[in-house]
Amino acid sequence: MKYIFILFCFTTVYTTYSQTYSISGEINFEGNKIEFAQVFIKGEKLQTTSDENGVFKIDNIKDSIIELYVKHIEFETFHKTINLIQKKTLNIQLSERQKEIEEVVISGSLKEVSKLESITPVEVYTPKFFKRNPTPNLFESLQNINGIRPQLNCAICNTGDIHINGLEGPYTMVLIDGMPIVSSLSTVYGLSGIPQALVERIEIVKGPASSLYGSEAIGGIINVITKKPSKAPLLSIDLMSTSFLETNLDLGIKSNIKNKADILTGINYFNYNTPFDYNNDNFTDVTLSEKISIFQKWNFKRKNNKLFSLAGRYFYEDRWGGEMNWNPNFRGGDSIYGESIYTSRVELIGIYQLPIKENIKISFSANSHNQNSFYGTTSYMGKQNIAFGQVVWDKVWKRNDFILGSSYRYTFYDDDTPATNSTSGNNPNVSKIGSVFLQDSYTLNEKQKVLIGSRIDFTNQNGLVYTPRIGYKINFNRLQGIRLNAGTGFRVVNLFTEDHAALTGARDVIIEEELKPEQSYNANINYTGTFYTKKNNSINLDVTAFYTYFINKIFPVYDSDPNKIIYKNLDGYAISEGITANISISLKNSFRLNGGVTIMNISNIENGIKQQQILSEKFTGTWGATYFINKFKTELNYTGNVYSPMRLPLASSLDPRIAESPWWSTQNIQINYKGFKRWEIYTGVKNILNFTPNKGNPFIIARANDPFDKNVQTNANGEVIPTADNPYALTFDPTYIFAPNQGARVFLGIRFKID
Amino acid sequence: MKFLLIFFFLLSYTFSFGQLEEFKLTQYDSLQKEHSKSSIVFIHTDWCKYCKQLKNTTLQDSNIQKKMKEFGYYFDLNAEEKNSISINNVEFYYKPTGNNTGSHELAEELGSIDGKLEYPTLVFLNEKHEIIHQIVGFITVKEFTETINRIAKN
Repeated sequence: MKYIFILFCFTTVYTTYSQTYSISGEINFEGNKIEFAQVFIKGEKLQTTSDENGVFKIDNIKDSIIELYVKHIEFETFHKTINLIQKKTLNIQLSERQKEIEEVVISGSLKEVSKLESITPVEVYTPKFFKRNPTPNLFESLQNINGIRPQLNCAICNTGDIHINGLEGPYTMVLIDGMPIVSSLSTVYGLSGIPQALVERIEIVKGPASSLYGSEAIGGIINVITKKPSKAPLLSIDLMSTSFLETNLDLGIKSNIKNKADILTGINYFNYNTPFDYNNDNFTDVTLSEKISIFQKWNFKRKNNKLFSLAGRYFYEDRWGGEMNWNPNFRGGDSIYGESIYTSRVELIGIYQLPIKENIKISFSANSHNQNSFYGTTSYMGKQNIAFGQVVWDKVWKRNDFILGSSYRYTFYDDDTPATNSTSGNNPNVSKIGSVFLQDSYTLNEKQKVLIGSRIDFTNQNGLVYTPRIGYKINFNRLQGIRLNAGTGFRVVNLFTEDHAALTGARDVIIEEELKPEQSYNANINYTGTFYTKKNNSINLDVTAFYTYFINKIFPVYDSDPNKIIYKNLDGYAISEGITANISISLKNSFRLNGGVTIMNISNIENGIKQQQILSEKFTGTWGATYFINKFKTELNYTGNVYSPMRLPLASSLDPRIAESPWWSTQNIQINYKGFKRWEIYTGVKNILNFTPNKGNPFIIARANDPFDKNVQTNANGEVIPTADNPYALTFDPTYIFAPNQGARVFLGIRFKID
Repeated sequence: MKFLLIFFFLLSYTFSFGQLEEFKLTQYDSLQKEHSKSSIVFIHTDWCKYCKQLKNTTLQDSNIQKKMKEFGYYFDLNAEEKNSISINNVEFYYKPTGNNTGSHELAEELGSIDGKLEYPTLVFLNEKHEIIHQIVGFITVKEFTETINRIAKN
């Protein structure tokens, strides 16, 4: 761009003198000659290094106007535009590299929790926030956010999902750079493969966000924003290992095709293949896993500066858990118990803005998910293909910001269980949803905005569903504001998305009735405020109260029959209500503190009886403290979570395991040395309190000694009867899990990057 | 020294007293045409916490505001501004990298240090429209005062 200016100014000069130029000069710092300074000209391949007298010379320069750079590790980079017709020699005085620049660069990129100006409350987190407690993937790192809890659904196979304010993973939508990954499995897989070095920030909306995303976004939205080409490092490597011999490698690469596209590539490899059995039940404590995930995003440069992005991801994972002496030869057999899951997944997402004056964007998402698995002798071969397309017209008119759109979603699902069988043979489940939506965000005045949205979905399975939405925002001043949001949501259910735990062990999945779509009514109110002290420290406060009322809630019943997991629509209603509060304090550059608490109640009310939902807590707290010791270039981190008791799924009335989990907490410390230019070393201890769900329990996995229920005796009604071998009348059951079964562990990692 | 704009003839300019006036870069040409002066550009985004902290603390300080006013014009630039900005007949565009995310060419042009743009960045330009200094990240009143004094002296 700058050359255009120059051309503009010097057109005559340039056309008259078409020859080559040279420049020479001397480089000094406070009278000393500087050797080994790198001298180069922007846009030209010519470069040189200053000699022992600080002298340099570059010949054969094509352009008369050049931008000259002088770089030296100990000094500030010098750059100057020079007209070579007027000036051919240069005396360059370098200046000392400013210390405060380095200090502030650190804080400058600490862009943590803040709020956008949108009507729906958005929380923003940067990789710095997650690096305080390093995890192999973004999925696990979300546990550092108040109100978000990655949940394990199975003690053996470690299937998980993300609960946002108590709502399960399928309610949450994942987006990459605003492009939706339309898949109910996206919270688990949609965050994989993107190294933190390529993440600029993560935006999180808790609670129903917008009419834009429809059925999948009633729990919330996780939007991963990748780094802009001007910010991403050329190469980044993050290698971490723990005392459990878990190894994680993240690789990030930036490349470009000149004037055509910028490309970000992320590769993640995780390997954990050393089984441990600290609770001596002959079962692996933690699921063994090997996975690779490759992510690539292309951002095309278009002459009209319109948007065109494509992203793709491939994911493969081989994981297993089970008896310590299991190996793949026992897969599916009934001699040694193991749960073995091969997952492969391909995703493609994209967005294209039409090359016209109006702002119309077309986006699409396609993914194919394949699971080949055995849970003991039970096989589960599932396949889900989803195609999604959407057109959105964004029109600003006077004080209105209209969004008009239409989308279509096709879901194909097939497995080898009775869920997709009919009397006439295999009957894959196909769901088609066509939608239209209109949203208007209207600015009342400088301080107030309202949002009105409507969405109609036409489904082949459930007919027509209408979901309205309203929002209101008021700013008291530029630092404080309140937001109100309310609306309805619905969700069609696909069992694949529900619960892999359903397939574990001996339990059969029973679908009690033709499941109706879940409907929800939600309202939330949010307050955000920022305060600055006299000493210019900042305090951010953020409080949200939420209420969701569900009808037809689909849920698994674990405790009516130990041999079954029954899916049914709730006869009554369910509520999810609570208050969540976050506070963060930053004291200039060195000290940051954040804390959050969530108090909530997730209950099912059936026949007038209220019951806390299983595996959901009433209180969670999360905190983190970071102190940067400038003198030693070292950062200290302390992070933690605390959870209140949850109701746990007992398998029989005689089950000796505790019915309610204790108060439990995981806490982590980390030391991070940042004194090198390109390298960073970090080490610490995870779960320093060494908490595992074994505390206070005789066992976690029921009947671990008889995983195939060979010695279980039943009466005429099929009910398990207590025997000498089986005093508690149990069957094999690994679904009793509320916390990771992994004690204290040390980790060590290095990060390397080239800018 | 990224900017080499054409000099315009100077027009008389009436100095206004009071609070530091915040301009948009779309006004850069006309302001410089009226009265050529040095400038400070504050590059930020609306999601960046330290930008807000800088804006609401250090940049609100009355002494700092006085110094900034003495220095020249003060411009505010949202690095994710979606409208193009024209300076001396050259258009700088918003470059989208995703749905509702992207960055503005002008922010990268002014704020980048070794090709990297971090938020917030304060850019100091002299009256010849050359970049003379860039400050990255949050800085305190004391640090800002020292920096601006040093720049003003040179």
